[in-house]
Amino acid sequence: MSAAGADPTEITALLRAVGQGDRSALDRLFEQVYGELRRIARRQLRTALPAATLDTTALVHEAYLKLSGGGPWSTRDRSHFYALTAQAMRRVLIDHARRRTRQKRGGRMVALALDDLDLPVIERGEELIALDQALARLEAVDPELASLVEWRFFAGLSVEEIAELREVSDRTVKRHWRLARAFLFREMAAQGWSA
Amino acid sequence: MTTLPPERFRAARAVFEELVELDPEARRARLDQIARGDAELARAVDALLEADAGASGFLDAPAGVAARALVADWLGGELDAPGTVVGAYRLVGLLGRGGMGEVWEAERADGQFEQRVALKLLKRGMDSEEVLARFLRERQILARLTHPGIARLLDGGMSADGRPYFVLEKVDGLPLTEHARRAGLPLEGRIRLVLAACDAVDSAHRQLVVHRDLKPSNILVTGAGEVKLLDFGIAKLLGEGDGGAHATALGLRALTPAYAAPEQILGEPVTTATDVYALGIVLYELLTGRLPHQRPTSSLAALVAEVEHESAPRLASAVRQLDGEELTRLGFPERAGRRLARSLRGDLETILARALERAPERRYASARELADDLARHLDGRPVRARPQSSWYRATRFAKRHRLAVASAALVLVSLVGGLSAALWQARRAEAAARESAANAHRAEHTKEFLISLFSVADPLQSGGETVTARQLLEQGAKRLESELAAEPGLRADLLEAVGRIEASLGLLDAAERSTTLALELRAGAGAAERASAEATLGAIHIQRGDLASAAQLLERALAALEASGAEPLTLARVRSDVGQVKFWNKEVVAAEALERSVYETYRAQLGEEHIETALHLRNLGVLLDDLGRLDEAEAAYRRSREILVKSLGENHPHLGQSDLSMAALQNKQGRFEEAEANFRRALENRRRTLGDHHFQTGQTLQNFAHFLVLRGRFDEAERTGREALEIFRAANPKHFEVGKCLNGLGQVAARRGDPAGAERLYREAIANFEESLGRRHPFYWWTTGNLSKVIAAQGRLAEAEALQREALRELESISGVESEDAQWVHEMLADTLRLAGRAAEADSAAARAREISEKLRDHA
Repeated sequence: MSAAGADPTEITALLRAVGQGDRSALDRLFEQVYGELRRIARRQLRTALPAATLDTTALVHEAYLKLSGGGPWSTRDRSHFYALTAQAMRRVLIDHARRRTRQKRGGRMVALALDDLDLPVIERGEELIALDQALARLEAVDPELASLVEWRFFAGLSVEEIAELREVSDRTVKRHWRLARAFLFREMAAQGWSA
Repeated sequence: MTTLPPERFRAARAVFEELVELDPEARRARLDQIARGDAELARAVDALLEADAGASGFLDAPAGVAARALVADWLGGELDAPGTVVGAYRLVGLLGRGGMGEVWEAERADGQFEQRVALKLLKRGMDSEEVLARFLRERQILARLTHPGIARLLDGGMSADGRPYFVLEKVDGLPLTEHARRAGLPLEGRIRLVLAACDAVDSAHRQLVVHRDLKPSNILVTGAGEVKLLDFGIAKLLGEGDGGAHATALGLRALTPAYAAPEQILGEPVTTATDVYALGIVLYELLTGRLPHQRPTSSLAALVAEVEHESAPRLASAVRQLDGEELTRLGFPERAGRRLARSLRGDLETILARALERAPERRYASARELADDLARHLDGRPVRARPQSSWYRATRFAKRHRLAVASAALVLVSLVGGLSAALWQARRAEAAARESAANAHRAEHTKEFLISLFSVADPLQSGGETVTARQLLEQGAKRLESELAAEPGLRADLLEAVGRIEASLGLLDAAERSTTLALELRAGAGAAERASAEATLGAIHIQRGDLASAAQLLERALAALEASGAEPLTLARVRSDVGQVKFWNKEVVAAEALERSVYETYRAQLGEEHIETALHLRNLGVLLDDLGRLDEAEAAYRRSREILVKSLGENHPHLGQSDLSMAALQNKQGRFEEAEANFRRALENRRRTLGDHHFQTGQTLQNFAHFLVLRGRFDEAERTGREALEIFRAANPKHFEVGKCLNGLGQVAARRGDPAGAERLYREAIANFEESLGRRHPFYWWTTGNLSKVIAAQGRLAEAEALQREALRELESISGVESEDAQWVHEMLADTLRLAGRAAEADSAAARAREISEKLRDHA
């Protein structure tokens, strides 16, 4: 894959292969999406001054446009793609949270002295990791709900977008969202996190 | 939620979806209906519905917003560069960078003032509404605060690219702990630093500002010695709601675990007492170089669990553990330890206990009150804080240190030795003689034999060497065979007496042989006849560490003696041994009650000023000492010594033992200079009355060596320990005292940072214990525990873990699943697992240790 990004034709082919249950295609596709997300995110934050926050929604849509080459995909392909993108987004954030949390552990005193000007020591990195673990438990009992959380929270897709992609009503998405959220909330609370 | 299996979750999901849009009454009715058929399902759905009610707002912001600090950091949000002009200032160098802001050293761009300032600037990409609000809030709070002890707000504005900033007085200083260390500040100087910090915090409190994040890196001391508070970034205005200003994205709390008050960690309301707690921790750290609590930083969950189990920190004992090196590192003179610990006892300890109370309402209400008491202490006026009972309960729960296999307590509690056994034996014979004229002959013989034997053999009387005593005993045993073969009853009496003496010399195999033989000779006799030999055998089993069989023998003997109406002193003697078993089984309260009744019996029978009464009073002192009733223990030791001196003069081995007991007590109280003087006096007594090579001289040396280890005087400790070792080896290379010495020397090596050397010594000690005491004795496993630590220190974690798991199993079976021993091993195991990066297992081992500790404390 070139630095400039992925070839849309290849992506489409990969997506089809994934649709037919090809595991290795899934891995390759995931790598492509992951790399693309990072590139877009970096650019987004660097150019938009003074930037707001990381706009994951825009990011995911941009990745879609870029990777699909603007060509028309079926709803099914798009749905696959967004699922993958949301997963990649989750991985991007969690990987970083883990790295940061590890860095903190070594040489605690020094890290604290420099780093706690503003940020509390118990910080988002650890919260995110706990959320990721709770999500893994949800995945084990209900993969569909777990993927909804990836779409909504990690990719930042709206209820309407999700309803359209999943071909269900907004109300159904909302109901599912409430259940997924209640599940995660309980799991986090059981781990001692308070909301 | 114990997670349901997928098919059950699907069922719950269906019901949840059905109910979530209904009103509460309809939900309740439907749930009740479901509960009748499937209660578990109804419970699961109910729990989810409840969570749904509490979860509004949870995960509403997408990850990119919620985790923006993280993301910005990951993407390396652009740094400003030196030279950039912000308002009227030019950035010179970056002082620090947090998740949302940067602090720069800056100067006036127009060159109007030379003075450098600190400029806090919002990081690029961070100007969301919430962050802006928080930033401005800090500025607003700082504007309220004008106190020489708080870094002053000078200016503020908006940068060219639209980011807010504010300008503060730049403080060139060191964290107060670091300042104290470098300046080598004495105790008073350290307290004065905290006083100054209290003053600044109090001025903030009077402006209704709570800092909430006091810690050494936020309390600097300038070159001129002024204390300055920094960073009101998460400060709170009292009277306002807790607000979102310090909450994290998913709604969590911001804090620095090591310094946070329990209410901050547990999410309870924050008050001025919250800052008092942090100041208390800072004071503790200044005085000891340590933090009072080991708090995990892995997750809030772990932190909450830890805080809920924390006990009051103990200042004096923390200081007592400091060795010369640590004292030097703290900036105290190397030899200041003893004096220091003494000055920390009492008032300072009470003040800290008050500042660090778990419940905010029991703390000083403000920094002012804390400052007042510290000032009173410095002026020598009585402080306002009173000791809290919980505090004292906690200190009383003095943990017996496993490194202290060689500790004084072991010697102290080996109750009255050879001499009194002999007397007891003779008295028993006299009593028998009174009962029956036919026994007169036997009694006469017993006494004669004992006198001939013990006048030379008993080290307490002869001052002779143990080797000689052993030879005499061997001769005595031969004489018993040849001279008394025709009189089995008498021979049994004498064998018993010999067994006692052998036991007091640590010749446990011989002692057990003699006593068992005595019992065999009495095979046909009644329970009462056998009781005394059984009691003797029980006493031997105590020394072997076989407490279960000792308890069985002693209690059977005691029952038989009670039933046969034995004389009070005989009963008292056995009770005293039963008490000793209880002591070892950590039933110290029961042991104390028993020994007290023993003492009362002796006092009634022999008079208060009798030597044996005094010796039992001393034993009572040992138990009181162990119970933490130190004042009573001290009184018992003093009275006992007084009586002994009157009857025996200073030149008697008993006095050496008295001095040793007192030394151990004073060591515990932190009166190190007095303790050392008493150790030296005991040693001198031993050398004078028993000789340089006597067994008990060795024991005294060993106790003194242990004391020196704890004081960090490793060279002296090693020299002293080696001398003891040579004495024991010469007397009997297989004696368990040899093992204890080796363990002690291992400890010296370990503390010196020589784990490989320590490992060799511990292994030698273990080999000795295996032979001398057997693998059922706690010493074997305590030393194994010590070994595992130095193995872990050499990075052989798997090996250390295996040893710890084995030690745990064995100690659980010897001392109980919920014993101090088990707690100790769980703690070690947690350390090893943590080193191995197995954090979850480490946490659970640590939690288990805590749980046991709690239970033990509840029972204490």
